[in-house]
Amino acid sequence: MSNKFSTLKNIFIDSVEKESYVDLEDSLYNYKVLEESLNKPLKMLLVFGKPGTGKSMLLNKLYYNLKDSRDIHYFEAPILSEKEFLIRIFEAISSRSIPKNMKVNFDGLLRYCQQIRGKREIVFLLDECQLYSEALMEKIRLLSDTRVVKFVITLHKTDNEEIIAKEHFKTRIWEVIELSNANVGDLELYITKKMIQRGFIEIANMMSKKDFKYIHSHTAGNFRETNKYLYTIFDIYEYYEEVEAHKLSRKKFSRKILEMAAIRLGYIDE
Amino acid sequence: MNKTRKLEKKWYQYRLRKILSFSLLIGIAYTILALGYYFLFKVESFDFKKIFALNAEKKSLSVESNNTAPLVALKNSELNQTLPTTTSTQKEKLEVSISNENILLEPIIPIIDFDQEQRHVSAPRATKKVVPPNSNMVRAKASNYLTAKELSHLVKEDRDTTKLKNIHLHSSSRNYIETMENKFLKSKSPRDALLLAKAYYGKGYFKESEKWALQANGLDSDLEESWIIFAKAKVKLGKKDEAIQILSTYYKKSKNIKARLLIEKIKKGKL
Repeated sequence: MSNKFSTLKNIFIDSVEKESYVDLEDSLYNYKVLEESLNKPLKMLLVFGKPGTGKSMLLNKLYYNLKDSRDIHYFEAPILSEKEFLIRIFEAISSRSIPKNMKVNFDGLLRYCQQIRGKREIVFLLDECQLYSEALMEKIRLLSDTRVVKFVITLHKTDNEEIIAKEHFKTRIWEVIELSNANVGDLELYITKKMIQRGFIEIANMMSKKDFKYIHSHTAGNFRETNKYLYTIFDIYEYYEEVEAHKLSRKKFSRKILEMAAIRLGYIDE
Repeated sequence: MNKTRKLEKKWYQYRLRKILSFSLLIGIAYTILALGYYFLFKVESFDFKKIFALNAEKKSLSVESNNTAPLVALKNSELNQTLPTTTSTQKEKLEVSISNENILLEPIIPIIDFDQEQRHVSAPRATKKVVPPNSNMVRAKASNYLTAKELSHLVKEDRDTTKLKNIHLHSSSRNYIETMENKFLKSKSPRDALLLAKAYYGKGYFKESEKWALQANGLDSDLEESWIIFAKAKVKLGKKDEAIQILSTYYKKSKNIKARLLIEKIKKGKL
């Protein structure tokens, strides 16, 4: 079974690839603030928001846009082992690989950073920092104090808020960017842009304001949830296109399929 | 494939449930509206005005019973024999006995008898009611029919407060109408219907008066006063031509002098 909807549903698979990024008014503003903050003498930058608000996407975009012009490193998945984390940091800074049976001495790493102070500025993008231990976060803080390493970290709004609240940490995070869920207008823009970028203009035009409102009522503007919902919608569309094409309207987006997808995802009771 | 078919089935169930709950909601709303309409406009006994007026009357009676009681006693000499003192509690007892004993109601309340409006205060009653022996009805006394003049005369003698007189008249008339309506429901007597027509006419409720006159006429078409009151109410309701036509028909049939006089009165606009 393969038709246009098979391709269309795949563009809504949740990913943080640069190509998947859709510029919205808010996200553009946040990106600008983040980029400008990197040029300021700040030790740490915090990107803060509920899951699915586009934090990872923002870091990803920042990395791909700056990787050729700056000394920037992106830790997409959190590294929970302290040993592994320090090895990755050292390897990124020194561009040297560490043998498997060796470990990085943290004091030695700090001394190394102090030696290159004023010569280099290295940016680390750390995603999902709510998963890091407090001890590791403390090491991140000490490393940022050397002014050689700058960290951009993302945190879920509800988790680890107490860590951020701690006085020693608070004083280091000089820029906080809070991301929020999209409103109906933003969501409409997000969906249509995503479809138009991949050439599904006809289907994008079939969707009405009412449809976007309905989608928003179930996903509350959460991008991850929206992607999941749209994937399910086009998965059902794919079936009808293949098996019962006569049931599909070519002019109007199917409310029936919207509701069927909502039932499948448990947004509404059967 | 099978998964989507199952999902479609679930969707049909969901839609059906949604439509049913929506229809149910509409049905409930419609029923509430229909019931509201029915009680407000269709059920005659569900008269809000009457209920409110009755409550107000009860309140005013309890407050002013001490003042109104002597007046009632004065005008009901026969009743006074069985109820020698007229305190507020006895006034209430009087009302209760009225409804319970099927008393002949004319003498209880001093309503204005429009037919005898011109009568002099001192003029004796010409007619007497014949009460059958062993009847539990209290015999009406002629002197209890009072004209407006009589009433004002008595009020002047006994009470100086005009305000109190007005309150008394109002509450008593209301009570009278209510009692009479109850009585009519039991008796279905044209006479009772006629009395109600008169009472409503006296109070200015011409539409009600017309209704009761028609009721009385329906029960007894030879009842002269039912024609008269019916025509009078019609005039008051602005249907002068209709009133003349009715009276003319009645006059042709009965050659009733009162009807003829009333036609002339209406034509001259003296009513």
